[in-house]
Amino acid sequence: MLNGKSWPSGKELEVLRLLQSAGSGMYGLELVEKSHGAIGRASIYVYLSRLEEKGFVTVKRPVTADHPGMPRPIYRINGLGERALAAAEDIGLFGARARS
Amino acid sequence: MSDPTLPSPRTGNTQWPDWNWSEQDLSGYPPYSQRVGSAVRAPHGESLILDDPDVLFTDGTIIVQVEVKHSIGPQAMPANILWSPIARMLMSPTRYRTEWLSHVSDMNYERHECLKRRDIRGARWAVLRAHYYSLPRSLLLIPVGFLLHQLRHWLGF
Repeated sequence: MLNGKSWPSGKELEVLRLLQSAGSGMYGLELVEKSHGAIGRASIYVYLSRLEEKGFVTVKRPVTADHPGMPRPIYRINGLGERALAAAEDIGLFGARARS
Repeated sequence: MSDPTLPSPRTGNTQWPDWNWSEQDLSGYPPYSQRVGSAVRAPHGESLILDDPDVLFTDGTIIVQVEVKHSIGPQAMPANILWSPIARMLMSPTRYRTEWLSHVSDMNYERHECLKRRDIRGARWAVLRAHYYSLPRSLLLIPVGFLLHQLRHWLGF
C-alpha cells in the first residue's frame, strides 16, 4: 500500500509527527502554531488534504460549532499514518526529508 | 383632538415633557395617529426591526416612538472570503471542501474569538489574514509578472 506515489513528503511527515504528538485530534491552526513556523498557514490544508487522500489521517467534521459559520475540521493520525511515520523514522527518512 | 393616543397637557401626560402643546397649534393640522411597521438600516449595517411604532403627525414635526424588538449584529453573521465564488468555479469540489472551506471556518473562528473580546480590529485582521492565506500562491505570479514586465520596460533591460 505504501508505494512511492503515496509515500508522504517531508512536510507531510512533519504534520504526521505533530498529529502523533498531540494524541487527540488537532485543528489546522493548532498544527501551524505547534510547528513553530515549519508549516505555513497557507499550505497546511494542502498537506492535510493530501494526507487525507493518501489515507494517513482521518478527518472529523463536526456538525455544529461554537462560532458562526461552518465548524472547523479536526484531524487525527490513523494507523496507517503511524506505521508510515514509524517506518520513516526507522530508515532515517524522516529527518532527512523534514530538513528539506 | 379626541384621539386618545395623543398626549395631552391637560391630563398631565409626561411622556414628552418638552412638548409645547396648545389648542392653537392643532387648529390647522388635525392630528391623527397611524400605526406602522417599518425597518431601519443603521449606519453600521445592522438591521433593526421595528415593531409597531407610533407615528404622530403634527405641525410638520414627526415624532417616532420606536422599540427595538430584535437586533441582528454582525457577530451572528458568518463571514466569507470575497473570492470564494471564483475558487468554487476553479477548484474541484473535494479540494474546495478540504482546503478552501477550512480557511473560511478558521476565519470565522478567529473572528468570533476576537469579537468575544470586543477586539474589532483583531476581527478585521482575521478576515484580512484569511483572504491572504487562502489566495493560491500561483495567482501572486500574475501581479509579480506584471510588475517585472513594467520594470523591464521602464529600466530598459
